[in-house]
Amino acid sequence: MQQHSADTAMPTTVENSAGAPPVIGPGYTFRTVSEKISTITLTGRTPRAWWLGLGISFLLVMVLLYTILYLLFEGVGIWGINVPVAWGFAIINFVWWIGIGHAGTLISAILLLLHQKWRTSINRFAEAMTLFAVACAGLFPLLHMGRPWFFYWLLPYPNTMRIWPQFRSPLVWDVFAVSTYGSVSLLFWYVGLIPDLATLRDRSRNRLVQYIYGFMAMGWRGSAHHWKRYEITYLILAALATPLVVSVHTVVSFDFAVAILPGWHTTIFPPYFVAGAIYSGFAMVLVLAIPLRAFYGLQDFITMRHLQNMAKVTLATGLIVGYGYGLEAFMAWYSGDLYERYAIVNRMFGPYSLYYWLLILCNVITPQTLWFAGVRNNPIRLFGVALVVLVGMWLERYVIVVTSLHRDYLPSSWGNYSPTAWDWSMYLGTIGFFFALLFLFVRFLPMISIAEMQTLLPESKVHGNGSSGENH
Amino acid sequence: MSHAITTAHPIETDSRPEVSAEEWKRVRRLCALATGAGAAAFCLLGLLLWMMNGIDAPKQLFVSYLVGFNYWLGCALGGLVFLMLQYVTGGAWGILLRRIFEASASTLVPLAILIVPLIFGLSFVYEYGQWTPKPTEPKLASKAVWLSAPAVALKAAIFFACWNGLAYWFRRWSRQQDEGTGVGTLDRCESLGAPGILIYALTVTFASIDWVMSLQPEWYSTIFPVMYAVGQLLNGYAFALVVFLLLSNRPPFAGAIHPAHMRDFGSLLLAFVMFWAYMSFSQFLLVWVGNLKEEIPWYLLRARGGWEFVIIFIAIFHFAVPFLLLMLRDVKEHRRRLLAVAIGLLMMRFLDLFWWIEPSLNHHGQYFYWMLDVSAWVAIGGSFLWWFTGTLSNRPLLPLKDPNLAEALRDE
Repeated sequence: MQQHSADTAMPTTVENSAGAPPVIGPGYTFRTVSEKISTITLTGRTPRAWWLGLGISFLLVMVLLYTILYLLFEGVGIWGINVPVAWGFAIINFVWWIGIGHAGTLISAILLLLHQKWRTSINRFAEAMTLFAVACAGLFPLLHMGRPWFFYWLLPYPNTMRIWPQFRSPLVWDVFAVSTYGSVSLLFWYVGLIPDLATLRDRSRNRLVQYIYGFMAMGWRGSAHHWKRYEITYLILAALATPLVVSVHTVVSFDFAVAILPGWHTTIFPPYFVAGAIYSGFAMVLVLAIPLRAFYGLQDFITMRHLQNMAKVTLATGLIVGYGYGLEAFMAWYSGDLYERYAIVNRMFGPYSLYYWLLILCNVITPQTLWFAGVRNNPIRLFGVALVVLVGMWLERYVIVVTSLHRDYLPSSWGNYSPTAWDWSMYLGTIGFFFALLFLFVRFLPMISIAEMQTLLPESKVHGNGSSGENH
Repeated sequence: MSHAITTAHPIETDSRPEVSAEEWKRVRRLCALATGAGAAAFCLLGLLLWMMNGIDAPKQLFVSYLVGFNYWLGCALGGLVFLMLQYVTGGAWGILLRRIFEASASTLVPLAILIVPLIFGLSFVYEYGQWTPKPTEPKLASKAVWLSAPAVALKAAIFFACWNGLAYWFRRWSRQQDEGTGVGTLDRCESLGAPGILIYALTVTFASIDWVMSLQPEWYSTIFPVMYAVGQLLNGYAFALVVFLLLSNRPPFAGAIHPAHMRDFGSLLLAFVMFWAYMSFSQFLLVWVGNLKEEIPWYLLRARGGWEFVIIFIAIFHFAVPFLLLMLRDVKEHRRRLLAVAIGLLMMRFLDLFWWIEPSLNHHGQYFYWMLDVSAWVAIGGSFLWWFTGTLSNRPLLPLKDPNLAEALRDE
């Protein structure tokens, strides 16, 4: 029943034209696909490496909690921020994390609407990555407020204190953009999980586990009606999530670009930030997918085709980002404006020039290796390039935030910035938090969509003359 | 919803026979006539308005020509980029439109000749467009050299060489594919696609700065080249779509086009309408909110003296209306409706370019100059279409030897 109705609205062919590797390995049936994916979750034996990974991540979570505790006790003065650089690691890490989340939404929503079948095996954990990245991102502005327990003052609600959000500030737009993004991503992820949760419920032998998955599956029976509603909901959520891929990072770019600070106030920022977000997001998906497929033996599901395509998207978005750097520099020269020119010269040759050139090395030069099939077809090299890109995108935000703030129009107000140990512990702590959530996810939920993978099998194709009426 | 997804019947069209050689000849005669009529109108109107002191001649003549030239250049370059893009991404839409994109790209040859009058007009139109760099304050000296007439002419020659080179290789390999004489022609096209798009991105950046942005030499905006390029892509795609839809009720397209194809065509148009709006709005918001003396004059010139109505008109008919219409399957799957939207967008592209370019010139309350823009558009358009139809009619409308053609014509 389940497979039958899935056929009607989902792309069904194994796309394998022009000698490209397939999107799913040969020899699988509906049963073996279910088995292979659900066993990872339902097995009673937890791999030792999983415990090790979770343990290290958990230690970092403890570091994060300790940092937050001390931060709440002492105040944001424990960070390296001060006038003129009042936005240090907090905004750098916020933008870095929120950018990483974008690939998940792009893969799950836009690639679905574009009929890209290769998205199928990577969308689930990419969506999970989005959620966890948004959770990490959200921590920074909240804690940067100093009194995070008053966060609700950012919302426009009737109150007797005569406070109201400043709607001209993009920081307020951020509140709406990010919270919408978080909610839609969560819904999208959860709706996608429902059929698989039911599969886990049905396959489990343990009463308690059956109850838990059964509760989360919301009574899913896989009837044709269920599938029909599911497909419609999924498409609507995809359509809702699509503008969010663009809008969230556009608003983040406005955080900088609406200010009239040289280096921040530049009109290319919205598309260039969006491209940067997708760039870092795909790099993170590669960094996660390559070890996961090797460790759990998922090479038949996350095939070379997936890695190659992600490498190509990484290269394309990397080129857009590189174009943005070039255009900024050219336009600063072309403008003839003293301050615009100085902002770029200061970036390239000022006190933070090392960061700038490292960023160029990581974000512009290294990804050029992806033009070569030898790098795209080699998971280890690809993993290396993706890691470098992640570092590069972090450096990019560092350069944008710090170099523009530390020297503005008035030399008497210039200053320098250096992060403290607490800045680093907070950042590393969120990395631990991210990975801890991810380890829990791969252990307790199916990291690849079982129902959607089954639609890739040749036997799920509709037979007959293709008219749709009898399928419902 | 799912019903529409799996419908396998080709769309209903009022099928007509294949376009005959005689019909192509008639169309091309019309194009030649349009060129002549447009050129004659341009000269006569120019002379008349000049004598009546109704225009700032000769500057106005060149600016009007610039509007028309940019429009058709957009059709040609948009076609070239989509030609490369469809090799890179694959997909049925690309195979169906490939010959039309190729024909659009081929018009870069006549356009390389049609830019010559503009080179002669540089010193009239652009503040820095003198044949010896204009003396200026030291910090602008390098800009004066960059925008001087010899530099702009040299750059234009390089741009057209790059574009024509790309168009030439893609057409050559595709002809070899048709004739079965080349080996691995499709692979070559796919390999050149990505670097080709990169070359386009770089060249169009500087072209847009030289030809349009520097009309107000003190103004700069980093998103402008991207906005200009997206405008060209929209122009090129809408043009190709109009040609395709006009031909779609005739062989080889008639009976081969399915609703899924039509939806993809409409959705792609919608995507570019949204890109255009995103770029335009981003630039507007950031310039407006910054309100800096270096940036805001561009919008001040374009939001006063009647231009404010043009802005509203553009916002409604270049974005809101097509955006809403292209969301509807009833529009996307219906040949005539989609055709109407695409033609409407082509007209709005003209207005958008007109709004970009004309306000940089002070018209001193004169109104009739727009007739010059329209006649220049007709004249250049006539020669563009003459060349375009010549190339298109020369070869089969579908790449019959492409191994992916069968897959593309199959209904999903």
